Amino acid sequence: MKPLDVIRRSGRNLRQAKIRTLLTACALAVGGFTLTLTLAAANGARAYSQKVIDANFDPQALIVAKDKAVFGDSQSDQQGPQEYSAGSTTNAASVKLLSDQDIQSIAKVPHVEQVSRQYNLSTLYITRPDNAKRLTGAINILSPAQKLKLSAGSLTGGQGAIGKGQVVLPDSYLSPLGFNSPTSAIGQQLVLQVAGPGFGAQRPSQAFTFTIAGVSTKSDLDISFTNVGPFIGEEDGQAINLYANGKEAAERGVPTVIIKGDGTDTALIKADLEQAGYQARTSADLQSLLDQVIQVIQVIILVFGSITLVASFFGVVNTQYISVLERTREIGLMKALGMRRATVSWLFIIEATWIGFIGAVLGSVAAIATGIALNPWISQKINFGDERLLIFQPSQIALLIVFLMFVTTIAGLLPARKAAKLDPIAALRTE
Amino acid sequence: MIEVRDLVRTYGKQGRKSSAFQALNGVSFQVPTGSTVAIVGKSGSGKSTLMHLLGGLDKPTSGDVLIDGTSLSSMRRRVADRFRAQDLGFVFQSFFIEPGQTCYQNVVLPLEINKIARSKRKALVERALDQVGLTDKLKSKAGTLSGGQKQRLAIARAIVHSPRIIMADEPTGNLDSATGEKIIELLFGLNKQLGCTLIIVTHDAELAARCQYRVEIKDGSVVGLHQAARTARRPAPPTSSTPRGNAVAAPRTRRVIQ
Ligand SMILES: Nc1ncnc2c1ncn2[C@@H]1O[C@H](COP(=O)(O)OP(=O)(O)OP(=O)(O)O)[C@@H](O)[C@H]1O
Ligand SMILES: [Mg+2]
Repeated sequence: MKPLDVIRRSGRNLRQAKIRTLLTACALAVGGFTLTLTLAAANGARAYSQKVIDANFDPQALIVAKDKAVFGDSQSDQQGPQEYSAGSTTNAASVKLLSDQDIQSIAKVPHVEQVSRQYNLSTLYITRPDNAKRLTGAINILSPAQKLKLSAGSLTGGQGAIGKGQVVLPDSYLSPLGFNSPTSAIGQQLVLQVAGPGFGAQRPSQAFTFTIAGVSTKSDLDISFTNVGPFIGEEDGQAINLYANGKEAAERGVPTVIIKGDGTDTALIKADLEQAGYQARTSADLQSLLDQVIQVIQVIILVFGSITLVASFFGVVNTQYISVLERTREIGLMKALGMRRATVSWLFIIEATWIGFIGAVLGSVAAIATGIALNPWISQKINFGDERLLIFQPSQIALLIVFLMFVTTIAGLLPARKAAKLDPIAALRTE
Repeated sequence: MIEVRDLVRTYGKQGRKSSAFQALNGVSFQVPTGSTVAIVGKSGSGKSTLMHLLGGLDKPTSGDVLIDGTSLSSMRRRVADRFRAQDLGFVFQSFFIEPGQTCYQNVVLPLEINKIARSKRKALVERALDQVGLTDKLKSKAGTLSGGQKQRLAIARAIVHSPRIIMADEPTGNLDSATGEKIIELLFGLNKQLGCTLIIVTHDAELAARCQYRVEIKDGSVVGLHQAARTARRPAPPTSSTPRGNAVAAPRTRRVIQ
């Protein structure tokens, strides 16, 4: 019998047992549905994390540190509490800092265009002339790797940098500071009151006065920690740091710098930096870190989806055994007419493959329909902006269909073997 | 030449005397290629059992069937399958048509098994249905046919691939005399035109008399081998060929009825 005839006859057999076929296919479709949605959700999560990183982190940028511990790596160069020596603080003792000398050698690494220090700054309060004092979060140093979305004002430092004496306020600061629109804040004065070194009531503090150059808005994709406080330029940051921590501590250096490459593959720059004894993270590293988390969750759901597949596997075995029983006489006839064992086998194997195809298509179509229906709702519920959580990839779905067909084909093997081994005359005698 | 050698077919458990039933006990005869043979005998005498063994659908307990000198029981499965698919047209006593499929689908099965090109199938199926008078039933479900029509459908399926040997187990059992006559004409016509060997089980004395040879079976043994007088020009009469012989059939082997 020709392969095409085998496929057509198998399909016809299924049509004669419509309800049984459909029910078995439905069981399989549940697994297909789960797997399709899982894959789509993982695609969406990956695309979303990519967008978040792109929105917050220049792909040309790298974060560089001297100590792995900065990146939360447990394999820190220094383990456990260190011995106390006079003058050392906890912070300085636990994390190796990048000194001016380090920063100079980092700047000399090929393809590094800009290096910007990341100071850890905080204020006692901020205020405006004739206004109440307000607490703030961290003061951020705008690095060349970050892009601010301004709703008013402009930056004069060149290449999107903040000029000296200028500050960019997040729009959430406007009304507490008494501004009723972003434009009304531009050009106004802002005072950052910074505490100096020391403790208790005697601790000195100093006012640093800035001009508001811009108001930044938070996009849906912003990771909130980059946008909680005002942004200032690197030069002002250095001055505040010097006052807040004292000359000695300030000269020890900063935990991290952000560098910007000249467009070369950041992996190459990273390799050079590591060669020079520094730790570096690229945006691709951040991406792969997030991907890893997504991957783990995806695998867990895939495993559960596969368990439903095991159930439908036995469903297909069962339904195919019934099919063989129902058609014992027909099998007897076909064998009596000289059909070969292998062909009889194939008839039933292909029948199982058909069930796999129908089930997989039902499942993925249902999943896609669900995705289309749910995407807007999900985006709204979890504040995703106009992003889609469920992204369906045709190639993935095609692969899944092929996989399910493969699974049911395997399930069809045993019943098909039984059919092939039937004795023609004995089979013909069954009513 | 189809050569039947000392065929024994025992049903049930071999070892136990009580439950074992010997449906055939040592049947031997020969049928020349291109001849017509009638197998006659009372109900339950073992005719269908014998036909199944002749067609290689069933395995004998002992003995053998040789087709042109090749033993069926020692044939490799693939060769035996090909013999049944290409050389044999078999009409079962209870038809075994697929009621859920159309007449076309029923009749095309041997062509599919024989890998006949798709383009040639339709014409062959139409011709076969035409020959049995079911031209207008091409697309009808086989289950909707009358008993006689089902029988004719089974015959169409047995002749559609122009086999060398046609075995028919009571092909006219369900037919009125006029339709039965047509079918008989068809089968004998094929025998004449294509030279195919025709083996028919029948209770119809008239039909049996038209065959060149007549094998009479009683309780699983051959009790008579007859050659019709008017076909005496045929080269070889059916003879009991085994050296051991058949106790009942042997003495009557060469009796020829008028
Ligand atoms: N599978 C079987 N198991 C046990 N006995 C069987 C089996 N098949 C046939 N027989 C017995 O063998 C004997 C011969 O049966 P067979 O069908 O060959 O008869 P037949 O000559 O074709 O009869 P009929 O003219 O009624 O068709 C019968 O007694 C029957 O009961
Ligand atoms: Mg019979």
